[in-house]
Amino acid sequence: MTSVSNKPNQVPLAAEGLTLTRSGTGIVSSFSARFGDTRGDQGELVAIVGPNGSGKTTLLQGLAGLLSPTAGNVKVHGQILAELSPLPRAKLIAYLEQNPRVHWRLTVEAVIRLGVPQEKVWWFSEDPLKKEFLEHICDLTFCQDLRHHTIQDLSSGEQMRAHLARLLIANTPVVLADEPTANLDPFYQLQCMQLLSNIAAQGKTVVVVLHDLTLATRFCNRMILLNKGTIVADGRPSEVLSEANLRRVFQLKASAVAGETGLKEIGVAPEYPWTILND
Amino acid sequence: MTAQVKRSSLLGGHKWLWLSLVSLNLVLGWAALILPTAPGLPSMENIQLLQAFSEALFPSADWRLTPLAALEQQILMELKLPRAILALSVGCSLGLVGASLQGLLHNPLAEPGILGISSAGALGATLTFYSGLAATLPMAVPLGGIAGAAIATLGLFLLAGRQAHTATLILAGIAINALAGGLTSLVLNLSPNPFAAMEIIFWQMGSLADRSMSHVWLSLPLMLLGWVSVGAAARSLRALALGEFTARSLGISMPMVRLQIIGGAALAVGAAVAVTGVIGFVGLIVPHVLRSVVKQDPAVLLPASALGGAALVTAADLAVRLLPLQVELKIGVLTALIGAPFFFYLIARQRNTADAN
Repeated sequence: MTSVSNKPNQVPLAAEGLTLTRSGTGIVSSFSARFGDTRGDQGELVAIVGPNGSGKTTLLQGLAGLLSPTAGNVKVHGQILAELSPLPRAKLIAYLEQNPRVHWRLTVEAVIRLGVPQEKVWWFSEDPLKKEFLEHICDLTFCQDLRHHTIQDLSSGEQMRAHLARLLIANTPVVLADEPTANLDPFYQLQCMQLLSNIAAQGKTVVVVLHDLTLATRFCNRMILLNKGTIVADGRPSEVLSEANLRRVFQLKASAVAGETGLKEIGVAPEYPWTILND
Repeated sequence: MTAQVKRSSLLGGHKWLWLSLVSLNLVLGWAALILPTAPGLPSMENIQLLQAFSEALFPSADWRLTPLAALEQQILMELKLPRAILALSVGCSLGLVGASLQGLLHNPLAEPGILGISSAGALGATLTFYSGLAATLPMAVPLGGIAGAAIATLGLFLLAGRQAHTATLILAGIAINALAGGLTSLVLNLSPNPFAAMEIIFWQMGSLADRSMSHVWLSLPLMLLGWVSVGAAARSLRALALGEFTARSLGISMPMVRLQIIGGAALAVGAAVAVTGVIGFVGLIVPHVLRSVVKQDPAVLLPASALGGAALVTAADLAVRLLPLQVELKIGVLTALIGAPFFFYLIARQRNTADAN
């Protein structure tokens, strides 16, 4: 089992003035943040939150190196991401897209095996995946019983477990996941977040886009609030989800209480006309 | 340490499939050499074929067991051998390209003709008939076909651009298909006499009859290049099962995959169409049938479809040779006649399983 090879004194993931555009429209503008720990022995679980259209997904794709920045850069262990070719990049960053799909009726094990970046392209080369590591990941994601099932025949929760296993089998120091808890029932949401929290505790840098502020508050020790493509706040969830931020960014009237894992007295902020229509 | 590594290559785990597909091809290839080229003619003896092979391999040795008449030798080497090689290699190209395009486009209905390369190849060959070149130069038809396919491929990449999305490539393919089809109709429309038009129409139906070793030497190297190019994209195709975005995050370069598959498809299908005309449905049906056999693995499907396509085209050509009809049936007509009903059956079966779910 290869361990996470964090280079000393290099931040696992850092964005500097990252600006991302889609068809000419700016989605994320000058985003700067550092993720993970320079000592490399401690991981971090960071939640990116924000209302719909705030640029969370675009930001995550930019951090994954799947969108080329129009300005600024992303560095992984000090290396500029845009200068890495696809394969070395895949060995550093694992990425789970929003609503992942599988196009053919593959078994869960076949899907999980796809997560290993393939060094050799040619036909008779050995599979680099070690059996023990596959077993380990299957245990970790509760996929043992699912391995020989066709993924399309499973429930959303079971499919997401398979996708999480696919994400983790690459054993990369940086893990990015875009709304992994969407469409999951509360039990699987907790299970999924606990899993990501565990791998962060093992030293990986995990960045998750989340819609559920309660989940984010409960599991992440750091939260980045995004609005219209820029950082509004970056810090502990209780600080980020201040009454002012909730009102301004989410148009909500609620408060997060330090030490509590959720929002109190949640309701739509009265100054937004949406409420009048609903009444 | 090495003992812990699970030894499994891309092809592992399907031993019986490879064994049966390879032996099926060997049997069909052998039959293609032994059985006569037209109904009513005598077959060759197995021992005679062995003799002929031995003589070809070791000309100096004394093999006089069952002497082969000069005429039979000539029929074997100049008629049956090129025909068998072309049947196997063209079938291989169609099956392989069909499977790779279905994987690239995530669409089980994709087939080699979708990129417009076949129809452009057919147009190129048609023009050599129209211009009279076909009558004077023996290799004009396949050369015209290859030129047509090459121009279409160039157009495809220019039209779709280097960083093209896959959808743009399909649209470009549709446009090329439409243009080549229209121009072919124009050529037919302008053809000076009905016989010239008939010749074009018959050629387009696809046939392996009366092809020489020159056809093999012209097309086989191109097809081989195409196979290598498409085969190199196998692992990428597997990752593409998760969609383009995730495949890219797994280290796949999409421009590279598109170049490998579309470039390879152009080489293999262009060369195939240039020598045989259009043989439809093979590239669609073969991957479709074999997909469930290989557990839907898009990478393993490539060699499986290549072997399956080779077997299907060889079998179809044998059927065309041996059916006792007044006129030899064109192989493209036969594959369409068998392929279309079979496709109906597949759709019905798919609908039933969809209803059951």
